[in-house]
Amino acid sequence: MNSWIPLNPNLVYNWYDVRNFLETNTLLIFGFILLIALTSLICFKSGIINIALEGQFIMGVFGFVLFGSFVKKSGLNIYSKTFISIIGAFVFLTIITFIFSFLTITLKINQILVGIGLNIIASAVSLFFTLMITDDVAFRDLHFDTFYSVEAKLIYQNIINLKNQSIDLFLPLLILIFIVPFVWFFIEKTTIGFRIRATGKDLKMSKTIGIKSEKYQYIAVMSGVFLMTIASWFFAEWNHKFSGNVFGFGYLGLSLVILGREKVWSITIFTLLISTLILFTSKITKLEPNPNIIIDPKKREEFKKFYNSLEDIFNASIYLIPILSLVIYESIKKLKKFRLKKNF
Amino acid sequence: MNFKSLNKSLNKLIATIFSIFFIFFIFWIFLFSLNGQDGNILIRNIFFDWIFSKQQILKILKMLAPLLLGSLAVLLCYKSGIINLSVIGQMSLSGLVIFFVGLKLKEYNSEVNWLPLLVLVGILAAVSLSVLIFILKIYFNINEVLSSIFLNFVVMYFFRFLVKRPNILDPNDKLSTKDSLGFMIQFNFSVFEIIPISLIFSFFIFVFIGYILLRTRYGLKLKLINKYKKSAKYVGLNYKRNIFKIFIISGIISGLAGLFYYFKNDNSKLFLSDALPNNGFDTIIIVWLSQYSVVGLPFIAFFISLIRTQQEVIPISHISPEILQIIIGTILLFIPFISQLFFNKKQKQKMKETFIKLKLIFNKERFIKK
Repeated sequence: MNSWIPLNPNLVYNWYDVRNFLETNTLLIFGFILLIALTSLICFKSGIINIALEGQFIMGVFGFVLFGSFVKKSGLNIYSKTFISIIGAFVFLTIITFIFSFLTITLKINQILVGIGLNIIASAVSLFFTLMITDDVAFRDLHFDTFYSVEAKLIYQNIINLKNQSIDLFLPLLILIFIVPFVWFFIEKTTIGFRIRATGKDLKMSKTIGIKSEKYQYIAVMSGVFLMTIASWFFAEWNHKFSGNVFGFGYLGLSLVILGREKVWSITIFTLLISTLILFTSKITKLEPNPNIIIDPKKREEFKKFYNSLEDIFNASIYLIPILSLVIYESIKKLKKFRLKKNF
Repeated sequence: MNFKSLNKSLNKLIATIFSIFFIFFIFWIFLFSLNGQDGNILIRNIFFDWIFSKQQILKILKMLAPLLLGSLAVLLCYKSGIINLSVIGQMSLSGLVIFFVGLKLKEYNSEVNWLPLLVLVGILAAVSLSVLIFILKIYFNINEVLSSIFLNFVVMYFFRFLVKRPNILDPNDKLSTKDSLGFMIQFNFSVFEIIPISLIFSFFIFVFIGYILLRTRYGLKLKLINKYKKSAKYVGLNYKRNIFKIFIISGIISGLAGLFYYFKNDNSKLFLSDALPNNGFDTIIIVWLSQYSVVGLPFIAFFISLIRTQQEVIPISHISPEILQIIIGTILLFIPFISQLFFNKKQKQKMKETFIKLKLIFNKERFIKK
């Protein structure tokens, strides 16, 4: 079988779904990846490589889903349920972020090792308590009922129907429109941002100038809690359940910072590209071969398996792209230097 | 060894042992408060149950071999100033390549023993990954931590892609080595039914590399490169060449570790998962728990392999084995905390100062009240 034959649009039953990108999921994915990347950026600016972001994200989502599952059967309305869940995410994130910052900033233990330790603990803690609460060995999932869950969506669609899109599309967009310029302003234009950048550039020098570098590193790491809370809300709504795993999105945030050369606007653009790639991969696995054209059921199964395996290739490319871009960037830099030397 | 360094290593030992027992005690209390007997069962399961079971000891030692080698690869890199997280990817890549090449070779000729060739191929795969990270670090100025994390994910997804392809996966989403690779039967034997051949082999490698690190001129060179990179240049040490050697050696060792891990039993299974495999992280944990000491490495590796094997046979039904993962993680964070607070002179002084400040504030308040 020629491996690219199944990708022929004529053979596929639901090709239109793959092309249709304007929906809530797009914004949710884009939103949480961007927020993680911005958190990572603020830490980066203060001189901390926050590998614990994965663990933080796990704990945030766990907090959201845990509180959401507690209030699921209560008589509260969807707004208050969502609000309580967000508080859960905030509490859990504050605890884990404070532990990380205390160990790395005050005790000055290696950031990478602390990050790995916290990632391990976070995934184990979330799995342990999920299993304790659900008592379900086969499916370790916590379910909840908040803003974007199915029932809520139906209500909103009934209220306002905008070209087949529900009103909830605009909430993440609104949040992002406010947050991105705010983070840019915070890092580039405020005194706190300037001091954070100074500590990141040269710790000793900033101390001699009179900047309390430890305090500003604390501010940088802890300010990420607000962004990560919203990110965990978006992730939980996108995934609809939780089973102790966030699929490496914490690391992806870190990679986007490098890809975007530590600038807010370029990070936003790259996040848009990567999130559409992720959405495309998740959609391509749901493709089904047209039963009217491919009659043999065995062949149809083979096609389905092929679509499933394609997801991993796209996922791998998400991590390969930053490395390749860095290689290209560095080689261009070297070439420029070489040319300059030649001219002189 | 002078008195100062002896004192330092003694402090490390005390910090490690104290934190291990303290954390276990805390979790014993936690489990005891949840359900009376669970804490006792957990402690008995980890520290005593395996002692009289030959089969269980064999299992633990089989797990010890790859963990010892993997952690040695991480330590070797750490001694020369590199944090090598790519062991995770290297181990899984070597296992994966051996499996798929083995399948193809078996199809070609099933009567020949392909083991030496397969071992070589696995090692080459691991080495190629570490060389790639070396090139990215030296020639393209990309931090090895970041590049290794990304490449680990790339290997993981590549692994999933190959395993998911039609005609390879069995209905339970597992890939068994039992029927597909016959060569393991010749490879997987043990001395006196307790000590596996893989452990003997890995212990020899460990002793050899440990001797190089501790007692030879090359080991000292590595230390110099790690601590004083610039002065090492002035002395005449070639940084690139030495680092390249380290990457190659660590690649070879972690390739072997991958072989020993994925093919430790006749019926090993390669699972599909969405997260990076635990075995690689365990090697980093071991190095951290042993606080970068060569001598402490095998003991901690034994401790972790004990936990990993006993994790599978915890007789508590309503408590998940993740509790052990939490315990390991907590110990991991607690050791540096203890050693910083009690054995670091600066921190000690800071603590004293804060204590004096608090005392002063307290006295002032009392004085005002009077």
